[in-house]
Amino acid sequence: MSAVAQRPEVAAPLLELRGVSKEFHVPGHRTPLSAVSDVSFSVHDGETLGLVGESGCGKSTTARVIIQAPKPTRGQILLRGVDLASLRGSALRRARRQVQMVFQDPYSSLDPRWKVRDLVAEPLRVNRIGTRAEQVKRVDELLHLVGLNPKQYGDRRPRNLSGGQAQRVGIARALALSPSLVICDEAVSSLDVSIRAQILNLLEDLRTELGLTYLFIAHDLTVVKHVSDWVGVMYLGRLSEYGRSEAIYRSPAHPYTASLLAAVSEMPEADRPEVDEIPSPFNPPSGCRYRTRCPYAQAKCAEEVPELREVAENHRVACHFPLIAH
Amino acid sequence: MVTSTEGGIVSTINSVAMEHSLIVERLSVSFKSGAGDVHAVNDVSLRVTPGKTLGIVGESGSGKSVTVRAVMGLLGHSATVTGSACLDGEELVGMPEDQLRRRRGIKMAMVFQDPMSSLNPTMRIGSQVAEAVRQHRKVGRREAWSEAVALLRSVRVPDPERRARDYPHQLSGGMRQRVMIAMALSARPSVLFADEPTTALDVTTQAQILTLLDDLKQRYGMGVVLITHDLGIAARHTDDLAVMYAGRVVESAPTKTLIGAIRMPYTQALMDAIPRIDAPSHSPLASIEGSPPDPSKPILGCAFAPRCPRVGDRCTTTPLLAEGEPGHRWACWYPLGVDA
Repeated sequence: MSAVAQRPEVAAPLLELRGVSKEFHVPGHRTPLSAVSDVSFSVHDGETLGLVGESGCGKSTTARVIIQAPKPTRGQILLRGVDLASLRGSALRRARRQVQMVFQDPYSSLDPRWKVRDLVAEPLRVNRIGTRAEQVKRVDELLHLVGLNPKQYGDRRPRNLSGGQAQRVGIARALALSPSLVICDEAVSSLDVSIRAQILNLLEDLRTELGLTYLFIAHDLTVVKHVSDWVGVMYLGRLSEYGRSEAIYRSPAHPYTASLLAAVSEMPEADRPEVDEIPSPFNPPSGCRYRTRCPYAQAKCAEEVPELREVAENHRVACHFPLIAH
Repeated sequence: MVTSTEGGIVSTINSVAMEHSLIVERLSVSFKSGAGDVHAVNDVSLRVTPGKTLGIVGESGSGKSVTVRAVMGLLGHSATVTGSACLDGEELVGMPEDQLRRRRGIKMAMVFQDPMSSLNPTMRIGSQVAEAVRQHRKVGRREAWSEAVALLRSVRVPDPERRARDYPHQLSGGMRQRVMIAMALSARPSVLFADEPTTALDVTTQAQILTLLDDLKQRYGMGVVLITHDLGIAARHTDDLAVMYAGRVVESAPTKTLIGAIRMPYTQALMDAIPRIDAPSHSPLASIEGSPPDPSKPILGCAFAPRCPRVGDRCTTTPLLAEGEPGHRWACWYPLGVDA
C-alpha cells in the first residue's frame, strides 16, 4: 500500500484513493497506456486539494475514475470510507450525486439548444428531485448563488453568454444536487485573467458558504496556490509530490515541482535543455519516470521506482534524491 | 521598397517605414448586424518596430484580435474597415484581395491559439512546412523539404529530420505550435502576429514558446505582435504595450515605462487580477466586477467608467488617448499616480 496523508484527528476522509491505476488499451499499441499508476491520496471535508501537472500527466483521468467514468483498472476509491466499486444501482447513484464536476470549456459542456434555466434544472429532473415548482425555485436559487440574475439570464442560450457567465452556469449545474465534493477540472484555464479572478473568488465564496470540498485540477501552479490547502503534483501518471500547499511552494522537494515553479516565476534554470518533452506514456522511462528530464538524475533513478515517502511532516515526495534533506 | 505609386506621400511613408515595419493609424472596424452596426474597433493607432515585440493586451471582446485580422485583411465583407494600416510603406486597407493574399505569408504571417485546428491532420508536418515554403518560392520538392527541416531546426524542434515525418497528432501542443511558427517564418515576414499563442499550452511550454519568439524576432529582425489577455505575460515578453478596452487603446507606452507607472485604472485592474505565487492560500483576488460593454450599443463617455474604482464626474465625456508623459499615452480623466 502506498502512502496516504495521515490525519489522525479525522476518522474517514471525504474522498480517499488507494493505489488507483487506470490503463487504456489503444488500437495499434501492444502495451496498454498507463494513464494513472498507483495513485493514493485523500481529501478531507472543507479542504481543497490542488492536483497539478502538465497535459498528459493523468490528472484529468484521475478525476474521471473518481466519478467511475471509467472505473479504475486497479485500486479503490472510497467516498466517506465506502468503496464505490462495491455499490450498485440506487446506492451508487446516491453516492455519485455527492461528487460533481466543473469542466474546462463551459460552451462544449453545455447543450447549445437549451436555455440556462433548463440546463441548471437537468440534474434535478434526471434524479427526480422535488416537484416541478420546487425545481423552478431551486434553479432560481442556484442562479443567484453563482451571481446570475435568473430574470436576466434564465432564458438565454449558451451562445448568448460570455465565457465567465457560461462557466457560472456550469458551476450552478454542478451544485444542483448539493454535492459534498466538487471536482474542478481546469475550470478556469480557458478564461481571461479578469474573468478567471471572478470565477476563482466565486468558487472560494461557495466553499465557505456551502461548506464544499474541492479537488482542483489545473496546470497553472499560481492558480492552484490561491485555492489549495493541499497540493499533489502528478507526472506521467504518478504522484511525484504531495503535501501541505505552503510547504510545497516554499520548499519543493521533487525536481519536477521545482521546475514547474521556476517556469511560473520564469526564473532561469540551470542544466535544463531548452526544449524538453514528456516521454510517451506508452513507453514510460524505467525507474523514476521523470529521470529523462531531471538535471539531478543518477544511475539509481533508472533502476528503482521511487516510493512516495515522507520528507517532512505533511510532505511526501517520490524521489531518490529530494531537494530538501530529511 | 514601395510598389504603389499612387499618392504623393510615398516618400514620407518610406522614410517612416525605416523605423517601423507596420504603422496602424486611426483604424476602425464595424460589423453590420440586424441590431445596428457593431463598432468593434475605434480609432486604434499602433506602431510595430523590426526586431521588437508589441503586446496588445485586453479581455475577450476588447477588439485586439479584430484589429489584427483587419490589418491582415481576414475579416470578409461584413466588416467595414476605415483608417490606415501601412506595412513596409504599402497601404493595406482597401487593397484588393488578390494582392492582400500575396502579402499574407510573405510580409505578414499569423500564429493562432490552437495549432491543432490550423494543421492538416493527414499530412506529415515536414510536408506542411515544405508546402508553405513552395507557396512563396519556386523550389523543387526536395529543396523545399530540406528547407522545411531547416525551419523546424530554427524553431528548435529536436531531431528535425525525424520529426518532419511525424503527423500532427504525434506531437505535443508545444511542438505543434513550433511547427506553426516554422510555417509562419517560411517567407521571412516583416511582421508576425501571434494571437494568444500560448493560452492552450502548459506553463512550462508557454515560457519556452515565448522565449523562442523573443529569440526569433532578434535573429530575423522581425516585428512581433503578441496578442494576449495576460498582462503578466506581456510584461515579460514585449518591448511596447497597447492596452485595449471596448475597441479602443486606453494606455500605451514602452513596456518598461508602462509597467513601472501604470496610469489607466483598467490596466491596473488587469495587473491585480493575476494570481500571485507568493499570496497565501484562499486569499481573494482583485477581480474586475461586471463585464465589458455591449459593442452594439453606443458608449457614452469612458467605456470603463461603470467598472472603474476611480470613476468621477468627468467620465461622462470620452477621454482621448493623449501623451501624458514622454512616450506614455493614456485615455483617463483620473489617472493613477498623477495629480489632477
